[in-house]
Amino acid sequence: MLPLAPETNGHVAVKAWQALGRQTGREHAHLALHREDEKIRFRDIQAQPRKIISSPTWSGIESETVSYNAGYTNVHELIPWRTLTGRQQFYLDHPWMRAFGEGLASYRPPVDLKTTAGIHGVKGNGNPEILLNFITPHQKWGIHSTYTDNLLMLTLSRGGPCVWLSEDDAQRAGIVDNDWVELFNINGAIAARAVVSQRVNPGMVMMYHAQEKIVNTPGSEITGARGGIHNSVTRIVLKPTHMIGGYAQQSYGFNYYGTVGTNRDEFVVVRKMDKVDWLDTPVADELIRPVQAHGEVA
Amino acid sequence: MSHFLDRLNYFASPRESFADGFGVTNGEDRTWEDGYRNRWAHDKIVRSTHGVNCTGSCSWKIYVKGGIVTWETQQTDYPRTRWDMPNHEPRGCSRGASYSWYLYSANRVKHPLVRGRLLRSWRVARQGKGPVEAWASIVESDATRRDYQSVRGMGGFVRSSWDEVNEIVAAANVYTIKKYGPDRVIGFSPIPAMSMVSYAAGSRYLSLIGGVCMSFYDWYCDLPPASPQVWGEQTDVPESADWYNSSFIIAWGSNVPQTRTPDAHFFTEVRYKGTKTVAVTPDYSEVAKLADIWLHPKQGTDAAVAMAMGHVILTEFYFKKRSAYFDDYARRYTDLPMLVMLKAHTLPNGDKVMVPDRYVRAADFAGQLGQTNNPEWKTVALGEDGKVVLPNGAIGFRWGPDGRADQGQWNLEAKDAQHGNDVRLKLSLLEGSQPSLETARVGFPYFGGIVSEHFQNNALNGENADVLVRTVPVQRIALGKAGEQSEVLVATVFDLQAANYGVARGLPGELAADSYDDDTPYTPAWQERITGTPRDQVITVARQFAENAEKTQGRSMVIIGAAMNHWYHSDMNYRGIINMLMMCGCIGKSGGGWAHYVGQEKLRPQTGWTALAFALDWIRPPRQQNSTSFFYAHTDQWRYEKLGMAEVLSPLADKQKFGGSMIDYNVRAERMGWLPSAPQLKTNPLQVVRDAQAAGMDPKEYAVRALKDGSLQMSCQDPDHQANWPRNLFVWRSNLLGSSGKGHEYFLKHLLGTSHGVQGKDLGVDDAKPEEVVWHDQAPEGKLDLLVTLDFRMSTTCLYSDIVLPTATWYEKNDLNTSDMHPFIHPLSTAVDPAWQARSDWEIYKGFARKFSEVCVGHLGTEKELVLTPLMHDTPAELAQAFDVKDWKRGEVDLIPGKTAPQMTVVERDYPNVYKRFTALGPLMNKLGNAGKGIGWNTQTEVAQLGELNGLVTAEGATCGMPKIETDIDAC
Repeated sequence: MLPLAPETNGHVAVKAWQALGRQTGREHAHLALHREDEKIRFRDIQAQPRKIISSPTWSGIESETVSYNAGYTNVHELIPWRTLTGRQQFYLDHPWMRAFGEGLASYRPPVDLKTTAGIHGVKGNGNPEILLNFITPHQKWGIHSTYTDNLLMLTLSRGGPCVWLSEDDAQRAGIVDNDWVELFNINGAIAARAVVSQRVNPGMVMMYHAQEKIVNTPGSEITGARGGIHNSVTRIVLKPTHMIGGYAQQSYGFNYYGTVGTNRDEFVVVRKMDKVDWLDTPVADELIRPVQAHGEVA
Repeated sequence: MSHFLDRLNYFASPRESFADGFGVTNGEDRTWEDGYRNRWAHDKIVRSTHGVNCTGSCSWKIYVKGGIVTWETQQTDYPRTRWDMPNHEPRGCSRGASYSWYLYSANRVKHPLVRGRLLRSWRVARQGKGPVEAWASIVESDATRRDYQSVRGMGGFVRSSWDEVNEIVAAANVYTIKKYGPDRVIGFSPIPAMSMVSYAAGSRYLSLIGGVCMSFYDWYCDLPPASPQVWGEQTDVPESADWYNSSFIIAWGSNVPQTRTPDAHFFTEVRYKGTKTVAVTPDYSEVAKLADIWLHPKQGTDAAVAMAMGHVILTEFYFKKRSAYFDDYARRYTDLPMLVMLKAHTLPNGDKVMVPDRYVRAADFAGQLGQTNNPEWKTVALGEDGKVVLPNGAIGFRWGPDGRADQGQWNLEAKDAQHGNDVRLKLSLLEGSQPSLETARVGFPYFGGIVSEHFQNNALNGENADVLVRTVPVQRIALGKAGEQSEVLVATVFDLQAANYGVARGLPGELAADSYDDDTPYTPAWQERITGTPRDQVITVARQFAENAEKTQGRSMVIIGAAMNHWYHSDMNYRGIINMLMMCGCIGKSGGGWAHYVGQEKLRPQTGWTALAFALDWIRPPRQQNSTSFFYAHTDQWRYEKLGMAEVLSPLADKQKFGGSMIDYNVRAERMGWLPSAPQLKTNPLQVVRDAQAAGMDPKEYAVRALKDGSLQMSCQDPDHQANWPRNLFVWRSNLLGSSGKGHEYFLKHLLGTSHGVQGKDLGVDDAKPEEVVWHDQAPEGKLDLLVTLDFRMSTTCLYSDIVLPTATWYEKNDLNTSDMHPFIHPLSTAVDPAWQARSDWEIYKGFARKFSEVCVGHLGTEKELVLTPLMHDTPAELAQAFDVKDWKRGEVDLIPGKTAPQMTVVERDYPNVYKRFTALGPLMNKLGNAGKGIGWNTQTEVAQLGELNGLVTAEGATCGMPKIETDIDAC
């Protein structure tokens, strides 16, 4: 890997810049010539992290005069952006971009995913139900789902799934801090503790993302199953403009262009839980079956 | 001396006092104190990091004592920054500092585990049956299959051995390839930059057998589609040290101290230089505390704030006065001078307006402006003298045969490509010695009036509630070949943009904003109603942002992240802000620009890695799939779709042409070659080649004919048909079901077939069904035959898996790590050997490859198959349909692979040699070279050097004499 990449092999970097120069008609190899003989190997970086070598794979450079910044070589080396016009585009003229109203920028409100209708106020548990926008920011006590089951991080946080809501909304729903609450819509349900805080705007509930259901998660009253993860109340929605292909910059690339997993337009019903059931009764005996050892016949 | 004797002799032991009796010495044993002394002693310190998709990418010291990892502390030896900047270290946070807890915790996966019910069936079936036959007997019996599927997620794992699990996995893969096709074997692993070799282990195995690697950056919604739209760039951002070069920073939906913890110091340090900081977050977040101004618009309405800021910037820096710096930047580096055609449109009330159509191209003119290479992909503008100019740099100049006339004109020199002379382009048609005197009323779609239960709208007055009609300077230009001349009305992007933003220019009947207090799109007063942000704050921030950029030539920056990108209309949030940055000349300027940080996307040695990861040294092209569309189809979320496409169409669109439901668009995109497919064809792609050979035809020609006559079908048309189900899924370095799986309960219900919490019903008899997709009344439950997860901790995904394999932790393997936040490459290293029965991902997949090569004999040999790939970005295929969208299925155009349909390639797979190929660098690097982002180069020297470094394969066989890639360090 390291010997083949321009970023870690100076000779390859020079070759790559020269190859780009044939397309642009300009000389770019000066960006890597001063590091041509450098070759970064695994043992080198075990000794100390190494700064990579400037490469045309990226639009910024490594240098003693500027920090790495995107678009730097487009502006300073006059390498076109890889768009239809070769320039940064305010306007996108593909027929589907125009059809979906995004030729130019504008404001578009969140879409209505209709996931609370038909379940809001239908299967009551006696507590008030309110509707809130479900927001899932990055958290403090984990990196995605990792560390959220780590005893040290659990100790520093509430120690299990929790959601944040405003004092106003909490009052409306009769919820006080640390209550067990349920969030649900037609996609599914979540069981978590409430953190009631002034710092949250009314109208939204925040569940820091990637809280799993493997630690301190009771059952959900509405599903009868264990409360879900943060994505239990979301669903994929696709946008046709992200499907456009074969059209200059609007062409598919792996992880590069294509449909994306948005989830913030979602609304949930929030209510205080009536009974907290940990679903910890033992499984019935008839469901337990022995596994044969190797060579044993059933 | 024993403690017993100490105690026995306590009173007899010699004693001596000192310091006037205040001190006493005796001979008692003090070795117990060594426990405390050695608490911080260690045998060695090893450098490693945390492969956790964290942009921090911090290097850590791992302390080892007696073969056990004891704790970790931050490394402080990063290479220095420039003399005028703070250094990077220390980098780290409480999360990283707690990692070593996992190694010896109860959550650690310690042994290969198999779902008990599956293992029971396997061991029974294996009596007297070969592995592939045994697997067949399990999955071909619905009762046996459902027996273990239906208890996924409910415990019941039992210990197995590596030999046994390798055999089950290999048998399942071989069976699936033979029966359904290799593209039914799927692998999900994200973010290679966090541990590149571990990613490559699985993707190399999958690519060699023809399996599918699933995308992640788009699926996580870390990918901002606005970036490829505006720049053709996946994502490229400044390193965090560049924040220190900025003099005005807006943290817009990015909670820097909480989510970019090790980098936040640059944000706080730069404030001591006088840099102004603004936070835009709906909640009072940690970053709000670091900011001079905190704006808190209603969540989800940020684009309205950005549009209003754009209105202020345009008004004050392009019209009230013209910033010389912004003006020059806009002409050279943006599409603002480019010409756009206008076409006539009648509004529902009978009002006739013009609407923006496509860019004018060289191909539109008589003589094609002298262009023979890709004239339909070259955009035009006007020079200051009013004459049509063909500026260098459009994408048409990028691709073509070597030695062509326009080679070397793909650059941003301010030149006319036709004549080579210097040009200065017109931003507005009102400029120059011969300004246009003509204007037109142009309609722009307006969405701010949409009525919503939860979001405040701002409706337009008058009849056209959803169309802004505004006055734009226009000009007539003559187009067409001799005999077909026509005159079209054109406008510059700049003039259209100013009209869309509602900037007053004194044009007749322009309906623009009289002042910032005028409640018309997109003024500061207008946004106030939607966002709740006071107009004065918006004006102040926009003005200061632009003033700073003007004075510093672009050192204004926006740090942005998931909070803005996770909305359905994220593109509008992003483009509203990117517009501000482009108008102020901040992109490509140190200390300025768009700093989007979501996920550890920057795989710095990418082009060295792709060859290894996708086995490009052996077979090209690999199969890669976009996960969002895949999971939408295969977890059957499309069956519950409630968002109608008419709800998101432009009020100016022709609704007849844009019917159907969400999945219909995806199906169209797949068959036109826009998006990838997985699985690809309903028929096994091995069988397609056999059928073609039987028919005496070239497989590609055969497939084209069969697709057209319907005898061959794309899988996307019927994702619920059992021939089109994904069958085997590998998950590694990921927690798909506990983290990123949007629509978690649908995954459980349809993909896994187990207990779930889906509350809604799928589309009923009265609901409109998709047009392009077969509807089955009964939705499948349990499409997957086998779910295999590699992890070091018992995650949610592990709990739902059929096989759970113990992988090495980040302190037990050798690997590489890079980030967009800093320019360094640094390793993960084996501080200790993998504990219990754990193995590194590299060793685990090597084990699969070895067993696969044995088990496949008699079932799969050297096989040919047909691979479909989309029209890929950064390849000549990105120039497919220049003007209209034509669909072969509807008979609008012929099916031409690589142009109007997916590209088709026949590849050969040597199944019994999968292991040998896995562990050697194949011949294609020498033969075809290496490439990235459309730039290719010869790499023979490096291959030879790699052979010297790693040694050559000496064993007889398919890889004899090739460079070895045996170990994870060889792979680095």
